[in-house]
Amino acid sequence: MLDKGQIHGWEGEPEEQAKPAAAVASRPGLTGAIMDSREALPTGERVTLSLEQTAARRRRGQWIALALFAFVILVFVLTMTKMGANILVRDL
Amino acid sequence: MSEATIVSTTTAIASASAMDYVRLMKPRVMSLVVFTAMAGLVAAPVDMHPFTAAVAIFALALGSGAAGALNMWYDSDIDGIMARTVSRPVPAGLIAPTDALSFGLIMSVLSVTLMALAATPLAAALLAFSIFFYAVVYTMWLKRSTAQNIVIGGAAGAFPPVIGWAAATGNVQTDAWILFGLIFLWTPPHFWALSLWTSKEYARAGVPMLPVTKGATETRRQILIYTLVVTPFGLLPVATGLGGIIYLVVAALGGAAFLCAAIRVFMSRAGETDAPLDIRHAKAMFGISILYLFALFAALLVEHALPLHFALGAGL
Repeated sequence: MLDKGQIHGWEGEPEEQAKPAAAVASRPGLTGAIMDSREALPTGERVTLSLEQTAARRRRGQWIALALFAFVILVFVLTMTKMGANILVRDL
Repeated sequence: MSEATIVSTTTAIASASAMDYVRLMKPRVMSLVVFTAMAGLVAAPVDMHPFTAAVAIFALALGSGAAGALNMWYDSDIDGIMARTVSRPVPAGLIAPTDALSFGLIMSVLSVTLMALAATPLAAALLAFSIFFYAVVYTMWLKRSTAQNIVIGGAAGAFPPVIGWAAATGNVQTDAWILFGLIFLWTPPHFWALSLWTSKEYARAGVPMLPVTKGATETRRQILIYTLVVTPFGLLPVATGLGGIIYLVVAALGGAAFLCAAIRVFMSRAGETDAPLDIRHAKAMFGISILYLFALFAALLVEHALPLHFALGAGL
């Protein structure tokens, strides 16, 4: 969500004490290559969203869920509208 | 590196609301797209199921929004320079550029898919092409490279009635291309009127709009030439039978008003730094141009949606 250049140092006490990230043991093989690339670097840094940001993210998530649900319903009704009549003319 | 927690001070980016994403889709442009597409769909000689027609129009609105989001992503650097666009979601820091890009791409795919499901493959292909034309040909290529950006790029905004027509009929006939031509020819005088009072901002942003590269006098001359072409062109649907009596009256009166406004701009010194009061003529013409196009397509909608279409010309 945030670009690297848009993250600034926060002046003051952190809201929640950050725990040092545990060292990630590398995994062997292809699975390891994929999984390890998804792990955050163990620098101890993390982004903490404020309450307002967390609420905004939750609202965005709800909108996305609603939009996906509406899309599924739309495609279903569309299919029934365009092809539903074929049920009546099929061979029994 | 210390074990400090990093908290974003740019709270706005992580606080982007659904409304910010709606603004990313250029809702005012979208409303014009929906309106002209509806006119094309309703004026087409084939009736469409109301539900599939509504979904096709919805898909077109999404496609327009997708193109708008891609435009805002690419233009965020120059949008941040111009006062008219500085409050847009990306330059204002409300939405991250990469999020705008992802949103635009996803919406593009969704809109074209939905159009293909609801209407015809041709309508979906035309929608995909118009998104590409606006986002790539106009935004990425023409806008920053030539003073003819609006002339050629105007094609992107001219596609909606053609798409609406193709959604209903599955093909594109002469009448649909006339509607295309109408918006295509209307776009340059409309935007050049606007650019007469925003040319300083365009110059600062490095966008070669006509007043920036050729000056205000040449812009006023081009506005008049294009208006002299588009106003008689607006009467063409009457000759083909697409427009009836109501359309004829609207096109004649609207065209006369549009032409008068263009002549007033031509006779004035609008856009010159030593004639700041004359810019009111350009602003008046900008408003009249919007009303003119709206009235033409409203007349088509009324004639074809209601049983009020009394054709005067022969159908092509």
